Parts: sequence; structure tokens; C-alpha cells
Amino acid sequence: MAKVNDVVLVADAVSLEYPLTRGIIRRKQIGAVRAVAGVSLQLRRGETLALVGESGSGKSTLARLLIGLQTPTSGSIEVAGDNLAQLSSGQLRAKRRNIQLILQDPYTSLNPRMTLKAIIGEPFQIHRDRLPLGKSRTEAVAELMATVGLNPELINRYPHEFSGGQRQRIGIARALALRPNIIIADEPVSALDVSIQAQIINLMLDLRDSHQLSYVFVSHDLAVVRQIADRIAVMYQGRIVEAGPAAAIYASPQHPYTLQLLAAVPSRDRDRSQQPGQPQTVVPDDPSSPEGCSFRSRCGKATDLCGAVRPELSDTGAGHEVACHFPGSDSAAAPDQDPAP
Amino acid sequence: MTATPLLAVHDLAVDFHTRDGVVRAVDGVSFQVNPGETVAILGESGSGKSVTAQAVMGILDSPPARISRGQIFLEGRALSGLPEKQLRAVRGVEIGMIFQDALSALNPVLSVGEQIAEMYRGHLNMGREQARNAAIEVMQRVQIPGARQRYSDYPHQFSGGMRQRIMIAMMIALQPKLLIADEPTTALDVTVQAQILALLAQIQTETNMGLLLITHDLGVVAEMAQRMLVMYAGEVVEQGSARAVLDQPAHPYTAALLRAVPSMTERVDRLPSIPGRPPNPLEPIPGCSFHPRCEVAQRCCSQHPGPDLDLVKSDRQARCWFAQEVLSGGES
Ligand SMILES: Nc1ncnc2c1ncn2[C@@H]1O[C@H](COP(=O)(O)OP(=O)(O)O)[C@@H](O)[C@H]1O
Ligand SMILES: Nc1ncnc2c1ncn2[C@@H]1O[C@H](COP(=O)(O)OP(=O)(O)O)[C@@H](O)[C@H]1O
Ligand code: SF4
Ligand SMILES: [Mg+2]
Ligand SMILES: [Mg+2]
Repeated sequence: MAKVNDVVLVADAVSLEYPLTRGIIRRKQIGAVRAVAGVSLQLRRGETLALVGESGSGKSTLARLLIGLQTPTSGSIEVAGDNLAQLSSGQLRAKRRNIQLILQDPYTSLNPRMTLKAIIGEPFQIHRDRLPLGKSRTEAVAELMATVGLNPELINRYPHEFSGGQRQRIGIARALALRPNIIIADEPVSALDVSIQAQIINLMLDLRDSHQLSYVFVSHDLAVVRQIADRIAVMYQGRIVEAGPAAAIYASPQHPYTLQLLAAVPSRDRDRSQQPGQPQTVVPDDPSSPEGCSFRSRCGKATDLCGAVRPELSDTGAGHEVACHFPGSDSAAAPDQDPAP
Repeated sequence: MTATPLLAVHDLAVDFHTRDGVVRAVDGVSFQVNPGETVAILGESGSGKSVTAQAVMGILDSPPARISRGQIFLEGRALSGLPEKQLRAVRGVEIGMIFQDALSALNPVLSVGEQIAEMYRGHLNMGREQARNAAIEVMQRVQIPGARQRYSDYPHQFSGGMRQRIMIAMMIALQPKLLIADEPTTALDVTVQAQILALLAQIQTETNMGLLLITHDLGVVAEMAQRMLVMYAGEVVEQGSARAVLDQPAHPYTAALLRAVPSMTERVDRLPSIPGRPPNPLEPIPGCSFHPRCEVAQRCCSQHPGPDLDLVKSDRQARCWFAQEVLSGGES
């Protein structure tokens, strides 16, 4: 186990429900969507924890909870030992500068009417004390630009004058302004071309070392995650179904969902004739699973037990946890099933 | 082999007439697709993949776009000269096209079943009942669970993967000879992507349809395509058998791209990236358009005119002065 002071961020049984409403004029709550369901995790100093899973699995919601942009319906988040829910708004603001967010879409997350100087320097307006000693805002912004590989001479330009990869650098520079310890990056390279993706991943790896950062790296791309993650948490329908050291998860994935995910990634070393059995089960939209394992409708190993009892996350050794009644690396594919009549 | 190719594109060039000047989006693109064959076009955003596809399909936005050069043949018939009315009969019947964003390609206020049935009524003169049954049948063929019950559902009631299946159903309804798929799985989860690709492959086996598959994903190319073109800045920089190009690229751009793609099986300390960024089409680059980012570039590369797409070895063309060296350099 990590030493207590090595842990910089803790989520303890965190859940978030979005109200489900019907009607346009008189909105009526008809239920709730559990976007995140009982998630517990720890982020250690200097490490990169990747959250992976399909779209809608709750990754972005969890990211927003971790950074305090949303308040959990139940459970708690602690940043460096302080429970976010118990802080006053002033304390929360001070805390927030330690934890910053980078978003996927560099096109929409930057204000088009602000210059780089205003965008990257904006955090200093609230946190004047974080300006490096004896430096003006302009100097600080120019330095940040150089750090992320942008030419400081472009400080008075607007975001639309930059390409996608450069805009992502702008977002990173802004996130670094207040010298945070933790960065939550939500699909930071997903919108970028491969050649640019590699540049940004390398930059993030460099910054992690030079600025002693810890990352929560949200991605649906398992090859990108392989290159950057120390630990991985696999999410399915709001829950962590498998978590552990990255090397262990790639070498011997235990949850049938993780196996399906890994098998589905198209590989350049494979052609159609060599393809192993692809998951052929076509699952109807919105399989609602009130009880039991939420993955069972897609799982080739599911039994009556899986329909009746929800498997809990449990350690299989060396910090590799899995929530499945029948874990193991043996079978990836779901059985062939005819579409519903 | 002398059989007539299903699709032949010869020396295609497309210009956009914009306020800032004329942009050449596609320049001198030639390729063929045979029946039953999958040809992939690989390239980064802005390289001209979609514009090439739209030119073949005859759905370029013109103005501002204009085909300024080249010809397109379907089974030997020149499409470029056809009057608009005949062209419309070809596309949609003999050529189908699917897109990344199925939602915007479908009519939001018509049930998906009716949209498919419409194809049969409009093009095959089927009656209402017959078209309905045919639509349900094709929905079952693309494996939409509960097709009969979901006939009357609207596009927004389906998930992204299911909507992509509906678009495929609409396109294969009329049994086209060629299907153009422009990033059909880019917006989908990997598990759903695998199913859609498997579905396309299955339809192809059953119908011997040709597939022009546009993607930026090397893995998708490897799993689906027999042949591939690599595009950069509006030009084809390399083409050949997909397996051979992926195993042993001849163009420095292809080689650099292959190195930059993160691997699933191996972790590296530093990902080899391609320096700089793709060219701005408003500022054409003299010589080879890749030279500012190229690690093997010499003085000749920046001089007018750029290299031609030349035969490097049998079944392989590349647009680089040093293609032979790149090819043999990767041999180790
Ligand atoms: N603002 C919201 N209102 C209602 N439901 C939401 C909202 N944001 C997300 N959801 C739902 O919560 C679930 C998780 O979404 P999200 O966290 O965005 O997943 P991911 O980032 O993994 O794609 C999804 O079912 C989504 O539809
Ligand atoms: N509507 C348009 N107006 C001006 N230029 C355009 C337009 N659409 C495309 N282009 C030009 O064509 C080039 C190729 O675009 P496209 O074929 O869409 O690229 P991709 O390879 O990403 O599909 C772009 O870089 C752009 O310069
Ligand atoms: S618990 Fe059962 S249904 Fe769930 S993943 Fe494991 S085997 Fe499959
Ligand atoms: Mg998300
Ligand atoms: Mg495109």
C-alpha cells in the first residue's frame, strides 16, 4: 500500500445521479441515470491513472466529480487529505488551483475572442499570488508558452489562428499556470491527428516529470493509454469493473469486458482472414440491468448467478482488482446470438 | 488482368474557389476499385480524402468546389460527362455512400423503416406493403435487433452504432456495385466498430460489392483493405497492396505515420512524432509538399517541381525522390 502522504486524490464510494425527466414544458422527474455508481479510487503522486471505457460509461462525469465541478450524490472526494464537500468556497477555490482540467476539444474550450495572453493568463486574475515572484503576467504567460512548445511571440494572437495540436498546447499552458499537482485530462488527444497526438503525449510525459504532476488520463483509446498509464481503471456503466497496474491489465486482462475491449481494437498486424472471433452479439440499445452484473447481456460467460448477484470489485493479487464472478484471461468473445426476433 | 475495373479515377483535381483564393484540395489522384475489393484511403484531416469521395459520388459542394481536371469511370462509363439527371440515377443506385455522422444523414422526422422503404418505392417502384417488408428484411440483414418492432422508430431513438446500421441498410437496399464509406466507424466505440466492420465485410462477401473505405486508422486499413492509398496535402503519396505498404512503406510520410501510431502491444519511452504540422492549402509548398517535415529531405526536395508518383517496385508507387532508399531502409 502507498504511504498516506503519497496519495494526492481519493474518491470514496462516489456516485452521481442525473435526474431523468420527461416533458418539455412541465418537466417531470421520472427517474435517475446513475452516471457514476460507487466508484472508489486513489491517485498517487507522480503517477498516471487512466480511466478507460466506452462512451457513456461515466468517465467524464467522474472527471468532473474529481475536480469538484460537480458534487457527488453520495460518497466523498479528498484532495490532499481534505474532503471537498467540507470546505468553504474560499478554501475550495484555493484547493482547486492544485487540480486542473484539460479537455478534448481544443476548438470549443477556448474563448475565440480572447488572445493567448488573456486565455493563458486568466487564472492569475483570481490567484494573483500564484504569479512567479517578480514576474509580470505577460512574462509568466510567455514562459508558459515556451514550456509547452509555443512561440512566445504569438502571445497576442487569437485561438482560431492555431491548429488543433497548438490549441491543445494552449489548453495545457493554461492548466499549468497555477502550478497544480494534479491534472485531469479528459480525452486530451482524441480529436488530434496521429502525428500531432504523439507530440502532445510526449509533451504531457515531459511535463509530468519536470513539474511533478499526477494525471488522471481519460481515454477510450487503449493504444494511447498503453503509452502513458501506470495504472488503469476500466469503467462500464458507471462502475469500475477492473483496475490495476497497466502492465498487468494488458498482459492478463481479467474482466470479460476488458477482454472484449482489447480484442476489438483493430491491429495493423492483423488482416481479416486472421481475425480472431469478434464479438458478434448485437446488443439492443439500453439494456437495463437493475440487478446482477450490468455486463451480463454482453457477456459470454454469464450464468444465473450473474443475473442475481452483482459481483464486487475484489483483489486478485498485486493490486489487480476485478468485479466478475468468473474472471480470467481465457475467453474474449461473446457467443454468437441471433438478433432478437 | 484486363477486366474493366468497377471504379477508375484518373488524374482527378478539385479546386475550391474561396474568398482567400483558389485552394487545390485534390491534385492528380488516380486509383481503381475492382468488384469485391476493398481499397482504403488513409490520411490525416485535410488531406483530401472526403473531397475525393465526394467527387466520385458527385456530391461536391459546387460552388465553391470544381473538378478542374480528370475523369471518373464506373464500369468503363465516364461519369464526369453525364447529365445531372443520369448522374443522380447512378449515385444512390449503383454507388452508395455512408458517412461518419449517420444522424445528420438521416431524416429526423421520418421513421427509419419508412426512410428505407422510400428507397424501394422510389427506385424499384415497389408498392407500400412490399416496400415495408423489404425494408424490414434489410434491417434484419444489418442485424438490428427487433427490426419489425423498430420499423416505426425515429433516428434519435437509436444508438450511434444502430444508426450506422440503418444507414448501411439504406445504402445496400438497392444492391449498389460500389459502397463509399467515409470514416464510417470513427465516432463509434471499438466494440461497435468491430461489429460494423464485420458487417461490411460480410455484405461484401455476399454481394461482391466494391468498397472504398476512408479512414485515418491504420488498424482499420490492415483489417479491411486489400489495397491502400496514402494521401498528404491533396496528393496520393503512396499506393500499393495494403499489407505490403504497412509492412514496408516506401514514402517517408507513410513510414513516419506508421511509427507515430501508438502500439497496443508495446510501450515505448517516447513516441516518434512527425515534427511541424500539415501544410496550409492556401500556401502551397514548392517541391515535395512533405519536405518541411521530412527526415530524409535533401536540397532537391524543396525545388520545383515535386517528385512524381513513380513505380518503386512491382505493385507499388510512391511520390518521393528517395523512395528506393526508404523502402530498403525499412528492410532490417
Ligand atoms: N448533463 C447530463 N444530464 C443527464 N445525463 C447525463 C449528463 N451528462 C452525462 N449524462 C449521462 O451519464 C452517463 C455517463 O456520461 P459521461 O460521463 O459523459 O460518459 P463518458 O465520458 O464515459 O462518455 C451517460 O449515460 C450520459 O448519458
Ligand atoms: N467547403 C470548403 N471550402 C474551402 N476549402 C475546402 C472546403 N472543403 C474542403 N476544403 C479543402 O479541401 C481540403 C481537403 O478536405 P477533405 O477532403 O475534407 O479532407 P479529409 O482528408 O480530412 O477528408 C481541406 O484541407 C480544405 O483545404
Ligand atoms: S460477472 Fe458474469 S456477466 Fe459479469 S462479466 Fe463476469 S462472467 Fe460476465
Ligand atoms: Mg466523455
Ligand atoms: Mg474527411
